[in-house]
Amino acid sequence: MDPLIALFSEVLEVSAEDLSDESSPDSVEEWDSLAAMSLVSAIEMTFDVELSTGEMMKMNTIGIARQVLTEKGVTI
Amino acid sequence: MNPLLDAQKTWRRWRKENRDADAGYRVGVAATFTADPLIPYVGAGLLEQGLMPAIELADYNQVLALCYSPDSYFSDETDAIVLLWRVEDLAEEALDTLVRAEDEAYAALLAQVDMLLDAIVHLSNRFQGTLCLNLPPCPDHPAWDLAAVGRSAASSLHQEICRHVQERLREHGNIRLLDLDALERSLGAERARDPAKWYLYRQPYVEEFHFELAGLLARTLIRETRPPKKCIVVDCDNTLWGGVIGEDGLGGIQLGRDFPGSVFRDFQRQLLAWRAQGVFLAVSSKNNEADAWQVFDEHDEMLLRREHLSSYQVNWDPKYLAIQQIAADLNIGTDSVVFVDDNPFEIEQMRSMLPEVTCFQVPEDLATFPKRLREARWFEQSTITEEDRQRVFMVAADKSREQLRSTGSEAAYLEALELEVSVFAAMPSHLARVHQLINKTNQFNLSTRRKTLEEVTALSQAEDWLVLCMNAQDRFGKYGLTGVCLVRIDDDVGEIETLLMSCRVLGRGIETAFLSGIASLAADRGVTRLEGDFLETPKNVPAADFYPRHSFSQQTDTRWTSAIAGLPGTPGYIRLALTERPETA
Repeated sequence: MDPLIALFSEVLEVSAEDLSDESSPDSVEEWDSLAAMSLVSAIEMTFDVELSTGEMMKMNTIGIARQVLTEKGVTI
Repeated sequence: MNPLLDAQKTWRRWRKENRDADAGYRVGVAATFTADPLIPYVGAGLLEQGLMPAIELADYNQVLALCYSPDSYFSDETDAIVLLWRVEDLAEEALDTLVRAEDEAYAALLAQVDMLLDAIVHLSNRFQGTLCLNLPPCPDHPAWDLAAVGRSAASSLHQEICRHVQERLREHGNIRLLDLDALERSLGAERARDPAKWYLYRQPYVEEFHFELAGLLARTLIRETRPPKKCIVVDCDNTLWGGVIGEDGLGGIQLGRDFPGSVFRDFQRQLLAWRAQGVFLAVSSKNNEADAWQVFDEHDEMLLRREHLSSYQVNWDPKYLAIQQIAADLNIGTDSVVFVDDNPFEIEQMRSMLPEVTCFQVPEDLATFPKRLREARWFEQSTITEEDRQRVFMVAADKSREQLRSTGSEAAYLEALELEVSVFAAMPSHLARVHQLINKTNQFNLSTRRKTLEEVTALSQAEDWLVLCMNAQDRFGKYGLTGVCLVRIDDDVGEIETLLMSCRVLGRGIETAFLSGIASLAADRGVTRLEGDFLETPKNVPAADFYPRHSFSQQTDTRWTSAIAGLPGTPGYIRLALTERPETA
């Protein structure tokens, strides 16, 4: 499975089939502000990166998260 | 895999698969900052220790309000409340003023800390469970550096606050303090903080710090639910020293200032420190006795001496037999024994024969040996009383008593013991021990009514209550404060609300002397009749025949009564002393 989708699925406790790069807080009920905090920590730990406040705030879809990680040199 | 992510997963899975109603241990957490990341780690830590936890987190920065009405935040079955706070959250403005070098802000700041402490004291007096509170970390903020301000008031501020917190809460037996500052320092204060998450979520700490804090918290809570271990049984060869005495000889074994001998020496230092806290030390070694004792008696670097051991088994029998014998010698359960050995076979055998024994195998990387033992915290208890410290010395006297018993008749033995029992009203200095006995005595306990330290203190000051203690001693030594009785006086009737004795003093007629002392002191207050309940529990069989054996007659299922005039007297071989004030132990 795509590691980023797997991460979002685990943290949000949502089936991976219901997630895609277009998923956002608007389309996934479980993605509230608290979950956003957990997602940031999980991303940092899983991919061993440090995110800036700008990056944290920007990640409003899984696709953007993927783009941020790619820019940081993570291959997913 | 990352242990932090693992712990998060464990917790999520548990929550998904278990209903909240099944929880066996409820924790409520509140913090002056965002503490959400803490929860899965605390949960996983408690799960790992076999508890079935449910954790509730109060909304951010509700600590003060919560202290005054915990029920509106947490389930009323909550077993433990954890309150986390930082000076910089509590008193942001006063701290800013102080940083701008206005020293009068110092008093305002302390007043705010006091407001918090008032609230915590209020909660502590009403909440029956465990209350965990942190000592605050040294105040820090992305915008300023307290140390660089260089004002004398500012730099001593943190120490002052910590001292103040400890002083004000000292008398509150149900509060456990977590040293958040020490934890920050051990991780590195700079590394512990995360400015990005602070600004976005008001979450000051990195994930790893939450993980460490949760570990500390879980260990603290676990300690409240489990009694500390009482005895550590250690192997000799490759455990107390490096090498095998039977093969390497006195000159060949490793013990002293150089590695690896220094590791074994440090282990012995730990053992002696635990002994000073009241932990029994014992040896179980497959060796020739003469070889083992030669090291104890003749090796210059040996810190542990034979007289430090409360019991030992040096022979070729299986070690589980040794542990059973040692536990019997010391009159403790095998479940309160920690066993340390370097041999995986011995560890495995112990685990299968006596699974209740806590086993620790000397790690292959010797440098980690003392530290890993230290981190296990088996012997920590919330308060150490004088009796705990004396316990190891009392047991040495027990051995002499046994020898006396084996020489003659029971009557001659009792006569020769020269027993003395004193009964007296509890003074403030006895209350910690009284509280401890009330909450841990299971066997000789007539009603098993547990109480908080605050309740015990209140009763000791109440006009219509007698809080009585018993000390016992014989020719071999003092047993210490080993009996407690709470009597509620209603005109000429004294109701024995609680009567308990430590197992250590059972079976020598001491309970009869204690009752006689209670009766006399109650009679001094105009009481002519004693009443009391025997409430059966799975563990208090030894107390079941106390009332009938002392000529009480049964009134109801649980209630027994007797006129003081009809009670049996103190046995002839016991000297009973009734004192207003006891001699100091």
